[in-house]
Amino acid sequence: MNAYFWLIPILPGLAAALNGLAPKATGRMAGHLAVLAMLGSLAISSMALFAALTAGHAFQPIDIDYFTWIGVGGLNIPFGVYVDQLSLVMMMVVSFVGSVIFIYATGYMHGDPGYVRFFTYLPLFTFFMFLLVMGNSLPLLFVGWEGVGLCSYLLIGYFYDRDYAAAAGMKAFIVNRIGDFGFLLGMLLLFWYTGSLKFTGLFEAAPGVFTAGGAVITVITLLLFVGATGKSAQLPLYVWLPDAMAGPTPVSALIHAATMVTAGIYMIARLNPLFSMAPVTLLVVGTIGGLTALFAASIALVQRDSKKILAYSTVSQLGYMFLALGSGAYIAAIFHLMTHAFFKACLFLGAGSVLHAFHRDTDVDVFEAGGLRKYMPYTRATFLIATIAISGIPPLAGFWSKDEILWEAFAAGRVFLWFLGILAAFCTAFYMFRLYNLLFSGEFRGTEDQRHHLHESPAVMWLPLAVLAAFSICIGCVNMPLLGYTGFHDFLHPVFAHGAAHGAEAVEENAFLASSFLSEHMLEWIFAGISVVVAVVAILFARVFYVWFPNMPERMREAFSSIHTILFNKYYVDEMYHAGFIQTYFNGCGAANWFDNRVIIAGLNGLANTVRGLADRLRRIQTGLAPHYALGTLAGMVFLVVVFLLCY
Amino acid sequence: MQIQVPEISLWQVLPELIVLATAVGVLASDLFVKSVQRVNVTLTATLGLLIAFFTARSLEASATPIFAGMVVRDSLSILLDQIFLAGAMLVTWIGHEYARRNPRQFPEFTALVLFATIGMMVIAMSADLIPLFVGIELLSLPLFVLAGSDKDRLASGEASLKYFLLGAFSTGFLVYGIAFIFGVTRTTNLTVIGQSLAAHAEATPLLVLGFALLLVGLGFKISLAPFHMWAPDVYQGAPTPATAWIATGSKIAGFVALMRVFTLPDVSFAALSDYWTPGIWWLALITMIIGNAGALMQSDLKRMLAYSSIAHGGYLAMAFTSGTRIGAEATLFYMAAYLLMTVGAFGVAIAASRSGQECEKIADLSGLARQRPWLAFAMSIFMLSLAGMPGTAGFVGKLWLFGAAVQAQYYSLALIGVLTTLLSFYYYLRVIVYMYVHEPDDRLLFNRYSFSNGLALTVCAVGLVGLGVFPNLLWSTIRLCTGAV
Amino acid sequence: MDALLPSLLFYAFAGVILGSAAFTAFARDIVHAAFSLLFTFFGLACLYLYLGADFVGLSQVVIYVGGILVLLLFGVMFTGHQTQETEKRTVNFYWGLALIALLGAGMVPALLKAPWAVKSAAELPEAKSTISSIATLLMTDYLLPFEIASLLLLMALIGAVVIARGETKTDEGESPETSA
Repeated sequence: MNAYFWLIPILPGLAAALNGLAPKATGRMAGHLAVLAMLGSLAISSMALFAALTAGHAFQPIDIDYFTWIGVGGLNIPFGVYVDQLSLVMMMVVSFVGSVIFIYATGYMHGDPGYVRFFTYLPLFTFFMFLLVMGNSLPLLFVGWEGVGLCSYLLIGYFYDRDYAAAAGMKAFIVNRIGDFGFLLGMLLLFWYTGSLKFTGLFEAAPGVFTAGGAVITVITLLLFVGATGKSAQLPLYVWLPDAMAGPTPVSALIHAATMVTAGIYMIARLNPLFSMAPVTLLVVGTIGGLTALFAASIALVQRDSKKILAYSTVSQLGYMFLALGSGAYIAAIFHLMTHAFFKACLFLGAGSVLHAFHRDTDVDVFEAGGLRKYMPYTRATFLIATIAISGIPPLAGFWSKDEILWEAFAAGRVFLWFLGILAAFCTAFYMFRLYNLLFSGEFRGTEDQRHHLHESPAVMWLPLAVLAAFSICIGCVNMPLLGYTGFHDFLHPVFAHGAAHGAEAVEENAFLASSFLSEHMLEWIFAGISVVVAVVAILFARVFYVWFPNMPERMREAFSSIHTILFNKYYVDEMYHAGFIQTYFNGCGAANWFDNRVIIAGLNGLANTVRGLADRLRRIQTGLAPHYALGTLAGMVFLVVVFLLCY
Repeated sequence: MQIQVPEISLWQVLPELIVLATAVGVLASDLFVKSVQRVNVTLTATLGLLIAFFTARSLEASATPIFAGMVVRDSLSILLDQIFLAGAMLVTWIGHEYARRNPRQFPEFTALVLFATIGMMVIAMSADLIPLFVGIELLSLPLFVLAGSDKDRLASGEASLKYFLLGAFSTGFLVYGIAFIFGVTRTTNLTVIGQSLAAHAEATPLLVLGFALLLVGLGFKISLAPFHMWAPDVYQGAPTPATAWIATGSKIAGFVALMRVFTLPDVSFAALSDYWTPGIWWLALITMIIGNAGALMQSDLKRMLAYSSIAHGGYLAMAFTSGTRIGAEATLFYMAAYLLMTVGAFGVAIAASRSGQECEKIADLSGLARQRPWLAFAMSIFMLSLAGMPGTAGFVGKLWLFGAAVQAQYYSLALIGVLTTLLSFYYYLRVIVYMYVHEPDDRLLFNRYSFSNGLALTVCAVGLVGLGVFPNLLWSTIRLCTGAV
Repeated sequence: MDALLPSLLFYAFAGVILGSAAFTAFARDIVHAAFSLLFTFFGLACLYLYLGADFVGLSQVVIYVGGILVLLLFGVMFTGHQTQETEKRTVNFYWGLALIALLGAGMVPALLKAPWAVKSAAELPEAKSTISSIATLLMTDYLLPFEIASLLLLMALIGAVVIARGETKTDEGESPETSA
């Protein structure tokens, strides 16, 4: 089995190479080729997972060096794979969700002029993604990291003839550069201190080199975290992800929801022995995650474009994962990563299915839709399931993972983070059901012409939706601590035991928990109950505002024609809702928007302008006159003489 | 009068002699053969270079100078000979393609490339400032002519004149510096200098001035800022194959000269590194910034590559400044990688011409991926390697360059290097975006490119990826050169 | 007196060289500049002779005055029919002066303080022609650079031909598909 691991990334890589280099030969078969390659990877990954599951506790991480990639003096970086439980989970997520989305994409992209190009970039992306999660050293992870970034950049700008798509690609690229800079610095520092960049060597050396909680390890982990905020779209570098929705929907589903954006979480989980030694960093990670979760969720409440709502939702859910990481609950983060991959992919593909019905590539105003349940029953059913799952209603997947994160945050003494999380959970349930209601409930609000064209998507598109929906229902059952079953937790535990043993007391005990008269299990139930109640209330709110409320005024006018007050009250509520809720939100979002535009974007633009100015000035120096160049040479000579004599 | 004739070991300079014979043969063929087929010229040159290449490989390295201490056949010179010969071969191949559209003076073109190669090889084996200087002249003169060989374009003549005038200007500094050094040390022999320094390392202001003057002269060759200003104009104006050889061979030879004079332990001024490093440090810093900033907004492909080449000179100088063994190794490795990616990029610029229209602007590459996917793919490799994308030789090389700088504790230099590298992704990726994402401006088809050009590009691309994945292939040889086992 | 005369001679030559060189640089008439260069070359030759370097001194006259300068004048005469005033001085002039001043300020003290590797009078060889020793050196120690220099001259010759040849050669009639 282990001998075939290299095939997992190579298969999609091969498909990409074939489609890219011989586009005429593969032609309309490009999609099938890519799907086939992904299924091959999926098969091998599943066999590996099966082997690991049957081995149980006897399973040892597999570390294979294929050849020495870079070998200079002290620096020895092999090219090889490291497959432990964490990698296996990631490999399964990438290959499974990837396969499903690939199949969907063959239908969705059918007839697109860039079909082959699309199926070149997408397998190339999975190639790098596999490299990222399977590489056995930090530089190899970085190769994958940069590779997926490049593919994402290319795919966001897929509709290159549209200005906003090209601009969005550029934005993603620039913002990610900032993050990568931090990552690279962190990596160099790590090598500087430990002399190794291979994971195994790194983890062995780390306890001896760094003092837990020391400044050095804190700085290193913070730098690495900067890299993670870029790739995983956290505050303040989240700005690229919503714009990234300019790409085709399968891309949004695979890259910008299920896999690539989780690379930051994977990286931190992979380096958990290092992060466990830096409690300050963990606090920062958790706080940024919590704030992002709430911030993005609040923005999602007022968006009108279905893919934008889902994008902010992704940012918010990634925030949850960082919240978990920051609480030291690595397994909960990975668990949520996994469940999120399923239901968010399902949501995106569902949104894609709606776009397909509207014959658009991107951007459908949710207020133009409505009542689609009649026209698209399968899409509606799967979308509803995924919406319930993300809202955290038991027994669907999202409930188990989100509840575990919130509980772990509380149990770790991060009550503040728990509070942020529960607020974000409320927002999540509300905006997701708002989206669902606006899309599928009520009556169709679009034009007659549009209504005429509405249709259910072909089977090649709704079958993947069904598969993902099925998993959104049941994937949570691998870890149900409330019911006393913690299979997923036990499976992953060995990966994080090492770090926990050597880490500082990163997480203090929750005093409330220690002194409580209730048993811990009881408390867990109570907290789960709180989450569910919050979600249900939010769903009811959404129902009231977007389904029942618009009809109520008319019925009331018929039944109680004279009662102005109630009408007024209705409008009063409506006004209050608008003035108090949305307006405040608009103000709040306006402030966020202002921050976005004035601080972040302006900062980037300022930097770009400075560089451009410098370049322009340089161009003016470059007059084209040889005497001026000679003068430049002379000036350099004088400069050198001065430097030399000063240093003499 | 008794004259002691030193041993004349012609076998040791056989590769140079073979190249010379090839060059003269190519030239003479024009005289004796009535109608010289282009293909025969290229074939002859290739054959000669191949023989020279394998002769160089088979030479036995020895640290003892020959020809009365003038030159030395150490493993460094043997390795560099191979690099130069391989580079000359690639340039000849892409020049062959260029000559199809500009058939004038084709044998001369090839011969001039070969003459310049001899100059580079002489520099590589110099153990004395006199052959070093003569070698630099022998390298420069053919390049001046090559730059002006496209007489249909005014820009070419202008480039040649500028290159010549400024080259002469900087040569003045070079000779002046050598004179100062002779004035202080009473010798031009680097081995003797190294030995006396090993016994007693001390610098006088005059010697330091000599260093400064040498740096100006050599800094011009490797276009370190602020001696770089000729480069964009000349690169843009010169015929593209000539540009390729100016950008690679000449620059690498310049660094080799610097290495021979400054960094080789015991046979150079390495012992006085405290005195000469600050100058190169500053030049490296300025060069990295100016090169990258200049490339950022260029719309002309060759001009962009010129600034990119300047920037890469800065990176090389950064590692070079460290004066350590790892710095020298990194420099050597990056030279080879730089040769492949730059010749490759210029090769694509030649191949990606449309009927009657050379590829000049970056926008001229629009839609290349549709019509010539392999060409676009190769260009992507070159651009990614230039940018330092992992998996290419450019990445490995840059990693070592920065590593050398960090090891020498030049943190600020390394930081500027990393920052400018990140910046450089912008303009390299722009090329890829044009090739893959943009539609062709007009419906003109790209020309077919010849086998020789395809071969050169394949060698470059495969070499870059190969070295990126298996850097040890070259690394082990380099380590032999720098004395590590 | 014994020491004074040689010094006087030296300063006289140096003065001629500097003065004529400055005139060359600043003259607005290119023919005047070229003629002024004549004095620079002669002055240099005298300095060489004065230092006992007879061969170099003579070569200086033969090559620079006899060859290069004449060529230069021919070039000027053939190309510019009227004595053309060079352009107005650009900003370069003042910048250049300033830089030279700076450079001088850096270099002159260094040159003055430098411990030149001079030989004492006793060490100097007896005054005789250097031609034979130069010849011997060129044929022994400096054989390789000498040969490379000859290659350089060949190169210069070919280069001059390539640059100067105006006629265009037609393609050899080879089909574009044939290639190496």
